[in-house]
Amino acid sequence: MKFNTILTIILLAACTSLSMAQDRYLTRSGSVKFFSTAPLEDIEAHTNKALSIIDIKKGEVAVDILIKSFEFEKKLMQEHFNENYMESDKYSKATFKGNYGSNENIANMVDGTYDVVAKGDLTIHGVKKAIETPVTITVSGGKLSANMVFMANVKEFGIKIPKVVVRNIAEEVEVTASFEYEPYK
Amino acid sequence: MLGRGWRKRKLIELNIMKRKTFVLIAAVLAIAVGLYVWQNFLKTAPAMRKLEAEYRVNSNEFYAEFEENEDAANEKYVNRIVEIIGELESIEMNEGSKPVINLKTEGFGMIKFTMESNLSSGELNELELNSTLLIRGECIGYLLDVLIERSIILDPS
Repeated sequence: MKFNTILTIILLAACTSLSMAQDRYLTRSGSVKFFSTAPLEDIEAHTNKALSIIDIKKGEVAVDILIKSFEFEKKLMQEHFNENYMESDKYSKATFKGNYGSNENIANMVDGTYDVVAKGDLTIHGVKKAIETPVTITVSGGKLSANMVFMANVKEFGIKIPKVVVRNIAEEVEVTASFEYEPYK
Repeated sequence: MLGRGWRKRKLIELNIMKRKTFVLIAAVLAIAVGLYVWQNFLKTAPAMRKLEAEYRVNSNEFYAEFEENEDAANEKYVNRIVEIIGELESIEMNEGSKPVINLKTEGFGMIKFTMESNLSSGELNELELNSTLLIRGECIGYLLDVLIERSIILDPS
């Protein structure tokens, strides 16, 4: 009896862990870039070190980015971005936590491209804002990827742009994200 | 006559003094403005080679500290210069990005070092998987992997 109980527990644990592995997908090398176009100059930065987890059964998604991981073409621009605007020593991460609702095809990993809308909280510079953005999720041969483009208003996140550089930095910044997920074991 | 000449000379001297003072003040102001612009708009962080590390630790112990208590490890290491010794797991080369060197750990993730500058082909050829490396850089935080920026490879000896 005792042996049977232990065996049942082990089997249940194994099944749960197997089901969790199929539900959750992870990437530690998500690509995120932003682009600002202003009268005096265009500014672009990117990172390939975003962390994202997606739960296909619950339709939930989370993204974490370390602000200092953004790379700029010019070193000076990168330093100003971290020190003067993003205050990244104080607000080190940007995060998104939300969901795209239930989608049976994605949940069952049926090959195809699916347009969904992700709703959730985007936190940048310590300021949390509710956002809604279209996301394209692609399932292909057991692999999962997600792509999205949305606009972020720097003022809404409490990022102050000094008047002297107001013609260099746009108020609205285009954010493009691309994630190639692997099963989370 | 003598009094008038003396007064004229004094007046000329006074004018020269005024001009010198004006030039001096203008020069001091120009230097001050220049320093302010340099300090606030043009000065970049010193190269990593010129900085000293606050900690030297092996990759397993370093990663374990983040896995066990992220807040405490953040407090100790984030925004500080560290030197990490560990075995080379892989090298990532993405177009438009600086190379990333990954060191192994016994935990779930790796230590990811984004290099300060691109690696020369000679430097790349010297890097062998599983070889021991000593790397200095600025720790920026933990996202399952620990991320280190502005990294340089040092001589382990």
